[in-house]
Amino acid sequence: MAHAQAHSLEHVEPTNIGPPKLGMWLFLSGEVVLFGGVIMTIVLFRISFPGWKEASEHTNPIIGSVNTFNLLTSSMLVALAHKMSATGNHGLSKLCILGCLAFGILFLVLKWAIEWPVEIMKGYTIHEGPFWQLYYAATGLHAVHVLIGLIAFTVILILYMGKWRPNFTLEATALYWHFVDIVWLFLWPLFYLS
Amino acid sequence: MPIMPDISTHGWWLDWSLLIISMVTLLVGILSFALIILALIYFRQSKNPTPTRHLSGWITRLIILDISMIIFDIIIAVFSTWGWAETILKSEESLEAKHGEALTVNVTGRQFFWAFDYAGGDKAFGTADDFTLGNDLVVEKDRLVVLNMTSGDTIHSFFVPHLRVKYDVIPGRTTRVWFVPKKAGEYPVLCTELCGLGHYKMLSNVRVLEPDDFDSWLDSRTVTLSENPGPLRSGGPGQSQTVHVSDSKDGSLGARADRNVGVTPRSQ
Amino acid sequence: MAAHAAAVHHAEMGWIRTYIFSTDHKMIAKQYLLNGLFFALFGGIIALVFRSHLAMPEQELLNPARYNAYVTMHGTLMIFWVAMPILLGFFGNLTIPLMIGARDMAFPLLNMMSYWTFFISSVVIMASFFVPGGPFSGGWTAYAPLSANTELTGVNWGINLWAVGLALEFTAVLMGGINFIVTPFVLRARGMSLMRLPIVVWMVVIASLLFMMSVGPLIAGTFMLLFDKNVGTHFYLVSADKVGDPLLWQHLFWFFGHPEVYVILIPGLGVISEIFPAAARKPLHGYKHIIFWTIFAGILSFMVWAHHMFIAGLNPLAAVGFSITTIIISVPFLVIVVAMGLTLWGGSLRFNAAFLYAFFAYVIFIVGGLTGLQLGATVADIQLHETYFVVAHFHYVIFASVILSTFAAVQWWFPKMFGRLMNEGVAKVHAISTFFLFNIVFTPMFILGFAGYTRRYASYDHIPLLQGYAWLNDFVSIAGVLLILVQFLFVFNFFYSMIAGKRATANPWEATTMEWSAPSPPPHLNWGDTIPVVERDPYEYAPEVPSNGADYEPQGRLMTMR
Repeated sequence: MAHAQAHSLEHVEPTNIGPPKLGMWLFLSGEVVLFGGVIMTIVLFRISFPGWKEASEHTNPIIGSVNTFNLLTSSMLVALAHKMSATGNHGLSKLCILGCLAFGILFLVLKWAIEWPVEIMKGYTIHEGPFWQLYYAATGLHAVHVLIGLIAFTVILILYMGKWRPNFTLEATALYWHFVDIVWLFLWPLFYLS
Repeated sequence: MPIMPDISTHGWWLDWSLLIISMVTLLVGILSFALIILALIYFRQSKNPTPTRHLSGWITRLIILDISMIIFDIIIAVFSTWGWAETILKSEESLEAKHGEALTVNVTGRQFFWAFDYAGGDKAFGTADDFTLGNDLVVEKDRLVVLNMTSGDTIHSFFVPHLRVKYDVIPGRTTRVWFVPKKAGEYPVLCTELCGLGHYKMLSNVRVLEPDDFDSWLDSRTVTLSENPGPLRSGGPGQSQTVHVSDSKDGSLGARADRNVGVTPRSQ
Repeated sequence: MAAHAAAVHHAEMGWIRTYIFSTDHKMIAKQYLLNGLFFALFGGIIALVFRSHLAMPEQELLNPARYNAYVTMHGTLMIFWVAMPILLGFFGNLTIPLMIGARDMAFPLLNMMSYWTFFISSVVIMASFFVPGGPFSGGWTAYAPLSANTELTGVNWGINLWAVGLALEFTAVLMGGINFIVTPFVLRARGMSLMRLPIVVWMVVIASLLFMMSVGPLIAGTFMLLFDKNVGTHFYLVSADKVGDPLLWQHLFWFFGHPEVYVILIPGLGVISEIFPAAARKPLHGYKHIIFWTIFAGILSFMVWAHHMFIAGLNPLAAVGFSITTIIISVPFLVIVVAMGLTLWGGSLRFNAAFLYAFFAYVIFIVGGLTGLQLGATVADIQLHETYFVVAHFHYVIFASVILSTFAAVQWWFPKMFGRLMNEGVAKVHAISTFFLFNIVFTPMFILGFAGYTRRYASYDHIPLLQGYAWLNDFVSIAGVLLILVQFLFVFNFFYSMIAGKRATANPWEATTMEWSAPSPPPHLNWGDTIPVVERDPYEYAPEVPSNGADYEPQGRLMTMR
């Protein structure tokens, strides 16, 4: 329609960042503050409660570290997928997204199907003091973010199988995925390495 | 100012800081409103049909106003911090050096009453002669009183308007206030942090006694309370909330505390 | 031609896409406005009920539990369901695209989702009035042990709905906020540089940024609150062997809460500075100063939150630091207020109703700011914290920025919403009576605060200490009831003018900014077959070289498309 054309013709774009990307960055900055609040709370409890260090020795650093590896790898794969898609190499791009999905699912399986049940069976439930309640709340919130990312990637992959070609959608989801990855890089030392 | 008469030694600082701050604020307010009303009168359309596009003169220099505002701010900050330093920021040691040995009372706020734990004659907590008063804080005139306050359930706030004392009472923490009463009498205590449906009835009393009266009062407590079941404070949160009250001038305080406790949620 | 195109467009989209699930920014603005005004009326009636109860507590109009619940809901609704939708949702949606010469928001679909998320949150908070136990009753600040433990208040579902409703409302404003920030940066008309943006656009952008940067921790905090209450964790709760920190909630809440005060203040100031130049017929004084000092105040607002906690167990030394940052924050607001005053100085004032509203907002805000400075002094809090002085102070700030500037904005932009003018006479009567009644209600509260009147008490009759001023408190109650009743004048004027008001021309106020170049009301996609082009600064009143005899130069003009 004429109006739609006019819409794209008339405005000046003073920056190189298109509207959707700027919106995505704003959304992510809101997320940064959300997790910033969570991490500040962790730091506060860590300082004020002496039982923290002792409790943190009961987490499983192996699962934590493997999960760090999972997220970093999937983050790398999604960056590759974006690159491939931009250069027209769609087959490889789909493969990269699939790999990213696999590592992401592995993360959630390790977290929700193995790590949490084992800890709960050992008696470290959410009621066992400041460390454990923050552990479940913070890693839980993060895992929900991972889940949302995985759903987004699944939808992209399904659409990608057909005629649809992702351009900005993939990039935005990749930005989100990197952010989720970075959050984990803060949570990992706070819960597993202290 | 419609403020309660002051019966504490530190209230002087507070009242004067508040007065100076209020007066300076009032002055600035009156000045700005005078200018605004002038503007309305002189620059209405019928009086001034052609607007002046560019203003000139000192009044347009925002920098002058910045500087005057900064001066105004400094006045407020100085008096505020000064008053604060003379009240809240005082350490217990410096207070005892100035006023002599303190009477320490442990205060517990609960829905919806105050409990005051005294160390008794031996001035040490955790001994047999400790005793607890409900809704009645008895202190000695001209003697430093230090209150160590905590809460058994939710946040309360301990406010004695005449003593210029207000501080929140927080579960899991101990907060401290101090005062030196200058005048004997009874003064009300209000709770100033919303603590539930009986918040407005969470009233109490500070009874300031002359030194002689206070000593004989304390002696009578120590003698009669041999069968005291122990201070309230030893019971952790969630345990029994009974207040052991036997002392009051008219014998009705226990009933009063019970009545306050008895405010229970009405079903909707 | 343009109107015809719009009509065709509407017909194409059908009734539901035009009026209910609309992506048109003007329709979303109207939806936000009506939703906000509904809650304003509702919150006002709640205040009317509990003030009537205070005037005659022996009548048992409310029991203490209901009284606390009504006080809580009055605060909650007025801040989150009135101020936020109107000051961001309504101001932002209505003004931004029209003023910057865009056809719609950057993300129209997100915009629609924002409103409907907000609508769901409204339903959730309203539902809390009908669940067993009634609505939440722990104060709108929801201080933690009281809000995290059902036994302490007897309210169970009310708390859950309060928290969920709040989280939904935040989500809605975040979605809207992304639009409000992105749109002015990427969809400006040709020639509209950043330093030519009308001031209200800047204010909405800054407010949205403040909101986005501060709300995260509180969302996390709200979920922790729900965990404490429903799962039995101890983030805030303290029990014999498990230790949470009740002050954590206060930190999280006020870290959001203080920027939030500016979120609902700054757009209001924007509206005032939008109307002042047009009323005084001269340019806005110190346009750049206002913008830069507002940004400075916004940054500083992240460093003052603990001034709500001076005597709440905060380290007394930290209190001194927070007191000083609080006092410093008065400097930017002084500059802004003075710049507004100097806009009037030397002008040729037209006393239309919109100006009256804006002017009264300005005067009331000055009182609010000055008394805020008093409260920023640590020492004053010992006597004044949690008394009616505080109540009066924040009503002076918020009534000015939220209620009065909303009236001003509705009066001012009514032609752009409905194509008609609101009745000037009724509006003037309403403005003047509201202003005087407001002062009659809240000035005595300063005195009551000094006298030791503690807020949130369901009755004062049983306290001998306070009986000296009981007559004043009763007087406040009666005047307060009148203040709320007078607001029905506005309700009447709004709906009457919507149906039968005078038809408006494109530019009834002879104002300069771009929205007055569009027809009243603007069609869908605003500009029809023309393209707006901006040629000069936003407030070119009293030009040195007047063109075509008018005393103002429109900011831009509409070019016909090829």
